[in-house]
Amino acid sequence: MRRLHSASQKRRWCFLTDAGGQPYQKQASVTPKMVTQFSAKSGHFLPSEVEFQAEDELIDIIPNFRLDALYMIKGEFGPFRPQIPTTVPIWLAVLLKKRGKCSIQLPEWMSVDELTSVIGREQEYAAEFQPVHYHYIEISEILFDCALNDIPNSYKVRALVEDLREVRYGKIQDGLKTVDNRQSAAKLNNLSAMEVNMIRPFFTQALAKFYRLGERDVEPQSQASQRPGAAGTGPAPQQRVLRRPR
Amino acid sequence: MGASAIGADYFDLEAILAEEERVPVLFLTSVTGVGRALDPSCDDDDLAEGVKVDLPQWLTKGQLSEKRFVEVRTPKCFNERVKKDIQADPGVVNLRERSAFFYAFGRSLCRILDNNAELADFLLITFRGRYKDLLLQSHFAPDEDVQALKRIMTREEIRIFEAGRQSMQSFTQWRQRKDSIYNMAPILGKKRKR
Repeated sequence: MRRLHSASQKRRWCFLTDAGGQPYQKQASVTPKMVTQFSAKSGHFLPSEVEFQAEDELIDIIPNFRLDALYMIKGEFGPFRPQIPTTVPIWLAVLLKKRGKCSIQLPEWMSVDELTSVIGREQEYAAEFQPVHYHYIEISEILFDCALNDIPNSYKVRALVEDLREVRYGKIQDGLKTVDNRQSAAKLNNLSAMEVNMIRPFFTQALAKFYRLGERDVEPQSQASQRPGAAGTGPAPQQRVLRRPR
Repeated sequence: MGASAIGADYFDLEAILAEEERVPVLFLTSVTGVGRALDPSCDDDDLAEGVKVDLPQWLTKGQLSEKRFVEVRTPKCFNERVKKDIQADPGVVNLRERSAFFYAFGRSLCRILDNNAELADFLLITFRGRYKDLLLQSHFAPDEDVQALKRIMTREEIRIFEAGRQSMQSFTQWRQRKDSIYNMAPILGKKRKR
C-alpha cells in the first residue's frame, strides 16, 4: 500500500524528481491547475476537489537544501537556502516535506492560542461566523496528514480544529433551520470553502423547492371573480409576501 | 394557463412523472367512442353524462377542463383528512403513500383548479413543516434508519435528502483519507491454483 497525498500529486510528482535539474518548470506549471478546476458534475465540488484548490494557498517553509528560484505560472518561488524561510504553495511544501527537504511552519491561525480564541468568539456570538481562513479545514487536514511533527501540540491543535469545525457546523445547521417561505434566505457570512461546498447540494435544492411552492401564478382578474369559492378563499393570501417579480 | 407556467416545468422530470397521477373527474357531457379507453369498468363505447372517471392529470388540463367537458374533483391525497393529518404533525405523515410526487402533483393541480391559492398554500405549509426534519435527517441520520425515513418521503423529498446525505458522506470519506490510499486489487491477492 502506498499512500499518496492527493490524486493530483502524481502529476506534480515529476516536478521535483530531479531537484536541482533544469528543465522541469514548464511541465509542472502547465499541468495541475486548470484541468480539474471546473470538473463540477452536479454544480458542486467533491471534497478532494476543494482540497485541490486549497493546495494553491501559500505557506512558509524552512528548506534544508539549496536551489534557485522556481518560475511558475502563479509566480516566482524561492530561492531556497538552508534555514532561510521562504513561501511556497502548499502542494509544493507537501512534496518537499515528504522527501525530507524542508520543515513547514505552522500558519498563525493554527496555533493553539489563536484557535482557542476563535472558538471562544464563535461560541460567544451565536448569530455570526468568525472570519477564519477560507480553506481552514483542508489546510489543517493536509498538514495533519504530512507534517504532524512540525506542529507543536499537534494533538491539541487537531482537537481544536475539530471543535471549531463542529461549532461552526452547528451554527450552519441552526441557520438553515430558520429558512422557510417567509424568509427564504439564511445569513451565513464568512463560511469556509468546505463548509459551503458541504451544504450546497441540499440547500440549493431545498430553496428551489421553497421557491417553486411559493410561486403564485398571476391570473387575470376577470377569471378569478367569475368563480368565487375557487380562488381567494380563506385568510391564506396574508402569507403571500414573496411574489415572483414580473 | 400562462406560457411561463408550462415553461418552468418543461424539462423537469418530476413534473412530467407527476402528470401521470390520476385525478377524479366528473363528465359534464356525454362522450362518444372513448368509453373503453378512459374507463376500464365501462362496457360501452360511449361515456354517459355524469360518469366519474379517474383520468391521468395531463389529460384533464387544457381543453377538457377549460371548455367544461369535465369537472375536476380534488383527489384523495388532498382531501380534508390529509390536511388535518399534516396540520397535526407534518413530519410523520406518509406522503409517499398519498402521492409519490405530492408537491409537483399539487402544484399542477392548482393550475387546473383555477389557481387554487388554498391548495398552493397548503403545499407550501406542508413542505415548510417537513423541511426541518429533512434537514436534520439528511445530515445526521445513521445509515440503518435511512430506509425507514425514506419510506414516508415523496420522490422530491428523497432527492433533496440524498443530496444532503451524499455531501456528508463524501466529506467523511475524504477526512478518513480512504480515497488516497492505493489498495491491491483483490484478484491479485488470490492464491494461484496449480
